[in-house]
Amino acid sequence: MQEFLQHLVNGLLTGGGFALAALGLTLIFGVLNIVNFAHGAFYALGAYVALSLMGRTGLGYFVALVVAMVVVGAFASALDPLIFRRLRGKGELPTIIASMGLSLIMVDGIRLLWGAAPQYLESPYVTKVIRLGSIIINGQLALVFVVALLLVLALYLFIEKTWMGLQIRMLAQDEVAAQLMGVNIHRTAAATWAISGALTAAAGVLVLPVFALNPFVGDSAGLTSFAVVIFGGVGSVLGTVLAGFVLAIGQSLAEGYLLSGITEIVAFTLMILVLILRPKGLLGKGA
Amino acid sequence: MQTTVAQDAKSAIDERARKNTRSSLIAVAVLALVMFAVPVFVGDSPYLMQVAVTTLFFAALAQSLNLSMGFAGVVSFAQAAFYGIGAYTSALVALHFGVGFWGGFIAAILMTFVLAVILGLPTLRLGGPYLAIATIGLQVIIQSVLLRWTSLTKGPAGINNIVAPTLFGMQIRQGVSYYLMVAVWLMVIIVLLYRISRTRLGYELLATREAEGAALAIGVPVSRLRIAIFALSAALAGGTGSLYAHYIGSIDPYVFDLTLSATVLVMVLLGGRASIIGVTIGAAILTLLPEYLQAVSNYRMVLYGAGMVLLTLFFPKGLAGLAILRRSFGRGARKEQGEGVAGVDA
Amino acid sequence: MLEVVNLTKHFGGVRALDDVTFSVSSGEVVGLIGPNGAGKTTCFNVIAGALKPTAGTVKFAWTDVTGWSADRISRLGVARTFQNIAMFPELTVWDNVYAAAVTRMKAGYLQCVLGLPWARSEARALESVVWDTLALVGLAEEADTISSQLPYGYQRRLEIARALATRPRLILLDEPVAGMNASETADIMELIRKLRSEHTVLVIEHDMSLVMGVCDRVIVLDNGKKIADGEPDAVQRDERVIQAYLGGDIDAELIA
Repeated sequence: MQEFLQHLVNGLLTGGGFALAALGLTLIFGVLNIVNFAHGAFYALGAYVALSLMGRTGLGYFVALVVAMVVVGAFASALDPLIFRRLRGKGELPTIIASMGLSLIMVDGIRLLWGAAPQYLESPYVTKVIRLGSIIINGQLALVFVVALLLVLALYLFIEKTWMGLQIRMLAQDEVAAQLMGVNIHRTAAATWAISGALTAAAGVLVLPVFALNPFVGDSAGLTSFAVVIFGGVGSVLGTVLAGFVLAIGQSLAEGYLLSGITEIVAFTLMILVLILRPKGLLGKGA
Repeated sequence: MQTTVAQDAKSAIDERARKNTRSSLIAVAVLALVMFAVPVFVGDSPYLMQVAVTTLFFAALAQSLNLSMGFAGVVSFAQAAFYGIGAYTSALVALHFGVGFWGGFIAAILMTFVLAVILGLPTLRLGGPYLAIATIGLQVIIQSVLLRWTSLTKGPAGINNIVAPTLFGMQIRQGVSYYLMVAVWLMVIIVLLYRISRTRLGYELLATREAEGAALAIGVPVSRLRIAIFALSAALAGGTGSLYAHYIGSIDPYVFDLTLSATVLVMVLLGGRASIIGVTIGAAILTLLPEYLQAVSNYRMVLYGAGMVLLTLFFPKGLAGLAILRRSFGRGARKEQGEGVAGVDA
Repeated sequence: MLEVVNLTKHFGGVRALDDVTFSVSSGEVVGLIGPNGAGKTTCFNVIAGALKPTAGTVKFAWTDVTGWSADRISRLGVARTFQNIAMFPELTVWDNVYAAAVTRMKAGYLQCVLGLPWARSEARALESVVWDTLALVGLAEEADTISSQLPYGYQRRLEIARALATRPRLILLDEPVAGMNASETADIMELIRKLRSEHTVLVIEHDMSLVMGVCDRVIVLDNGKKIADGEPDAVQRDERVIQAYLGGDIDAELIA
């Protein structure tokens, strides 16, 4: 029983990371209709930028987190005018290929700039542990959970309450109608990219202290995010968050009780089943 | 009684059809010539022969995907998975049933075909990006299964000592003889694609791509065709996988990954969808280029990625979009300045 | 030939078709008219298999085809044109029609790919079928033109040619003369008269000169319900029909 609870708790905490990592993707996919294969690269990039900030300039972990979010967000928003703006309306294959190419550029760029050897992102919480009865809670994971929820809340408020958030929501509904209503598509798209980049970078900075950094660390995060987004429903913030938790808990239980390494198979089979049976996902706006 | 204008139209159409057929045959003949001439020039260098065979494997994979993407409009990121299933099926069947390469080859083709039908039935109903994502899911799942089902596939260790094929009592080992075998296979695929494009099936597929609703209205069994072509495409990849397994002698699951699928897909895009010659050239370029860019090999991935981005931005129609390679389908559409139907063959 | 019984189609809360029953006999040319939004095209879509009915049955040639897919119904011998023209835009006129003709080949895909002699000769024979069809609709001279570049009137003819190339028994024409002038309309009417010897035709039209001139019978829909079914003259004078048109869009030609 206790083992079960432990797996459950681990899953719950990791769920925060899954959710945060996937949020950026659901935004890009839902609002801009772009299947972003470079998503994992932003995750890695965030961590590496934080690494440099902390190493070179001696910034603290939390400051580095914020700065990394800003830097990666700015970088992401530049991608729209450079690449994706020109592909709008040309169907999904060009954006898939372009984002794949972008991913290669980013990941290999990371390798060239920072080297391929494993590196370690220091966080004050990595070694801390909280005990609840006999359940062990890893400090960093707890941090991920808390910050993720905060960021989700912030995102929710932004989308619901601000002018830009409204534009984003309109663009997600219908590009033509949004344009007719005066939404500045280019700026809204850039803003969406910026938010996506920032959130994903944050996820990287928060989760990766638990593991070692290497340039390819984003690949599996990117793929898993796809499963989360589809499962939760493309374009739905709440759905993605829910799905993140469900999948993380499922993974934790599966790894604990079944074979380890079966996660990918389970996650993607679930994803495909969702696509076939209920394309809307848990809460999505529809296929 | 036809008017003279109508007669002119008829002769224009017939003339163009004849020219099309002629140039296609010439293109295929030239391709065959080049392919079979290669061993003459590089036969002594085992390294170069290896590069040549690798190019053929990629060209075969690219053409198999071309069938699915270019002809049926089904974007698939799962080609490497079917390639792998073919390789493993062939190796295992040859091993456990003692039927050697040929038994394994046939088993590989059948296995991938059936599997693709089963997997395709539910997924090919999906549209647009969701289909692509689903095929990515299939690719990841299949590779994971190959990696984890250790009792069957020996997992990460892979399968070794795969028998070489025998033909007329002679063993065909790496080198010129295997190259020729793969070359024949590639020609079979190319001729198959070419014949499909020229006949009834090609027309029905074209109709499906142009206007699916109208295609249904004239009686084209759209969903059945899609599944059939997807399965055929997978089977061709499977057959190629079998040839690969018996060539290389030992296989492991790591080769058959999403990156390989994506590479093959880019080859199809580079060549221009549905363009048979274009895709062959595209495959050749993308296989040979890394070899020649050894000097900048440290930046290889960045360059490759940049190439992909530039491709989508500026050359969405691929090589087939270039004037020289542009032809048209069937009797031929008249070209307007600068735009044309993406040809089925060069 | 065609029997539609209690056909109903709901879209959410909208009743596009409400308990519609009628039949079309072999060799007839029947008009389907009604104010805009009456459900005429929905009716076609259901008959042709593009939509599944919420209730009711469709029988074609004594076979129950309710719920069949569009391509299956097409292969049974039903051809249709579309209200907003669905050609294969990048193909020539010739290819458009050939693509349709090819679907009725007896030779299978494999036989064609293998280049078997009877497959080749059948493919060649189809070419003359295509030319004949093009001549029938008057498009032979435009055979080499890319279909998206055809003038509007010709595009409609192409739709008809393509439908004919599938050798149907029943042809569903959806507003074949929409947007055409009087002489073009007369040409199409002539074409329909030529068709009647070998085909059964169901026509949706707003143009009353065509309906009166060519149809043996007229069925009137309004708000998804059938409100009249009979000879053109009788229907024209039917109270409910006049009411339906006056109440909604006014079609001056009807009153004249």
